[in-house]
Amino acid sequence: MLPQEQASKMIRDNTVKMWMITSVQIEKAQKYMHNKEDVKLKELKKNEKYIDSYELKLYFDCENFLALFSPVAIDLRFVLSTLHISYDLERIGDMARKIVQTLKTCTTLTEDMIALFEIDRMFDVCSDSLEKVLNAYETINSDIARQVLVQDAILNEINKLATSRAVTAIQKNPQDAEIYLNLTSVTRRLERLGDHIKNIAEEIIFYVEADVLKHKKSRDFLEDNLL
Amino acid sequence: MAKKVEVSNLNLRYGDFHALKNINLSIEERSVTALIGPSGCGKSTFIRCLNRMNDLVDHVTIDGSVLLEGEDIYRKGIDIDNLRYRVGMVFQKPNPFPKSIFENVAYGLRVNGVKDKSFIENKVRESLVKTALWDEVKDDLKKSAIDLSGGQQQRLCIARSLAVEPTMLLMDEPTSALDPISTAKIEDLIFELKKQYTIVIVTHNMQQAARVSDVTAFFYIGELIETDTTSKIFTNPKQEKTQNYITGRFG
Amino acid sequence: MNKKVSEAIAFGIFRVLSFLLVGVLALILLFIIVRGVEAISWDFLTKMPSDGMTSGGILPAIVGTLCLMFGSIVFAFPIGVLSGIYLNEYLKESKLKRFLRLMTNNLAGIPSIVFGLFGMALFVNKLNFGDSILAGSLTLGLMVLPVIIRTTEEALKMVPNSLRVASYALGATRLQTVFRIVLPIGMPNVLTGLILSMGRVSGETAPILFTVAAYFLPKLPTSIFDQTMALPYHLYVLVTSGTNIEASRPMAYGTALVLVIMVLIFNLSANLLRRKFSKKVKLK
Repeated sequence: MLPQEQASKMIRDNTVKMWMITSVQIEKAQKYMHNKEDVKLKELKKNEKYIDSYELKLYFDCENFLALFSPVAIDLRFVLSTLHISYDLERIGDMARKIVQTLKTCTTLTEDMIALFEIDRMFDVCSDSLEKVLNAYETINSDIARQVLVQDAILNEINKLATSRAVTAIQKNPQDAEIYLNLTSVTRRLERLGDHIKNIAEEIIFYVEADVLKHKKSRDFLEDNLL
Repeated sequence: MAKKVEVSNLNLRYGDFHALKNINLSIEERSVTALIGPSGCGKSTFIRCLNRMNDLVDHVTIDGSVLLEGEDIYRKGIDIDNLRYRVGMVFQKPNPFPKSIFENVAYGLRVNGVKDKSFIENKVRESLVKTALWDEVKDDLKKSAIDLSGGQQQRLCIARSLAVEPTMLLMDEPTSALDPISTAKIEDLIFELKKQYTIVIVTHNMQQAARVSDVTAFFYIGELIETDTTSKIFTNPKQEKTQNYITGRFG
Repeated sequence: MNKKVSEAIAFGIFRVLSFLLVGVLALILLFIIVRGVEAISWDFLTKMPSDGMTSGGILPAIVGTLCLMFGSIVFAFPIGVLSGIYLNEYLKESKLKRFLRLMTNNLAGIPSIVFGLFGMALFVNKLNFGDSILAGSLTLGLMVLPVIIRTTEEALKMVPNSLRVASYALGATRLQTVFRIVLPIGMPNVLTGLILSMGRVSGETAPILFTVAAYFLPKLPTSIFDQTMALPYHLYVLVTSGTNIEASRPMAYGTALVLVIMVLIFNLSANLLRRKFSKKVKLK
């Protein structure tokens, strides 16, 4: 194996490891929502630290890779997209932690409330999407990444409904107003989490196809005004 | 931009060996075109077609057409010496003549019948200034060119080519025998010369191609696989072979 | 260890052999100098031979040899160099080139006495030059022609091809490239060929035997159609067929010494010339 290939394999392996831990964080957040006893908060914190240090390590490794191998074409796109992906993964881990913090204050949370806001469905979509983009990254397959772009719409829809659902529920049970409001913040965070996954999907498409998807409208503006 | 060179359906054979296969390429005026590819891919052979240097090799057959400013340089009866006068060439290894610095630069003018002393002096000076060599050698123009450093020699060879005012400059791996600082100087020079000349450069150094050229053409086993703007080739080549080559996966 | 021993032995042998060679050369020179130096005097160099070649000088032989050297070089040098240029610069690798090269080599291998015979038949008889400096020079010239052709070819081969290519790339023609680049650079080595052939010309006896050399002719030549004496033949005569061989023995050593010194002087001056040339065109 060429030294360059070894270095890129190391970056890839570390990204995948970081990815796994991030998925675990989402799963744990979902579990915590249903049963606070199931999840140890200490473990969550430890994982968070791992994620942060993986991001740092990837940053250094990518810098080294650029400096030592002057990569071009697909190699260059690999490094650029990995840098972005590690940032997005770190943000996703962050979101998961914030969701857990919010849920911690909801001491009287019931399964009916969770079902009302379709939060389980959101979690499932997020976990599924994250798994798919990981698969896309590992197999360098942009088709799988494109499927994820579509799934993001589901999260947006559910999040949009959350406010009106909260309003109706609060009118019925004003004493639980705080929990309902907290749950809207959970859906909002899950929607943001979905956005990060979408970003990752776009990075993978850029990596594989060299096609820049993000900010499509801004790009037209750029071409009209700056180029 | 105007087309400087238009190559169509160019085939070249050394005896039975098919060295260039159906090459089509056009080169813009005042641009730098880099030819890249693994050794033996035909890029040097191709560049030598542009000033008919291949005529010096035995058993070469060439068909197809090469238009230089609209004129077919392979038509019968063309003045080959005049063609080479118009198309300058710089080689892989610096090859100054074992003469004085002045005589090296003046050589092209002399063999082409220029006798006017002050004209020659001006041209020598001008060429040495263009190649940023003037300040280094102006006090000992009579010194033998062989005593210059490798980088200076190569710049002298470029000055020698420029003295005859070519319309195009061919460079066959001009920095492969030079240290990084001399290489940077030559690359700097190429960037300057681009304003006035059309340059075609063969290079094994991919970073060099990326740094100095506007257009890059990738050759592989006698075929022109892909040609595009340099930024396209180095960020998003269309052909898998090109990608494999520039990312160092083969060749 | 074994490797080092064999290395030491091998180079020991090489060293002994090369010193042996120098030793033999020194011995010959010493022998000639010791025996010949007493015969040398101003008169010896400037007087005609007299008393049946047992006394007097060898002036006509010296002058004759100089004439023959000059004449043969004037004839052979341009032809040889131009042929060498043609062979190396113009002729592509072909059957014709191989044939010409083979013939040149064969010519170099022909015994000098055969050249003498041929010179007599062609120049002396057929072209009716008679026994003359012209006929002798032409014969000697023919004899050294292959040497000059071969050395010229070799000299030009050593000129790096990159310089030719650079010259062509500047729009120079073949002829310009040969005369402005290739020949000046090859010149020092071409001159080596000239030195070698001059040495041969001054020392050869056989080719001049039937074409120019006089047994005894105590006057200086006045035209190229005159016969003349020559040092090597004079030496031969003194040693084998003089009127009084014993009495002319010191003269013989003197003549030999003069011949050797003449060759040395020519070699030295040609070397100086060569050095001057190569300084001008030195490659890396």
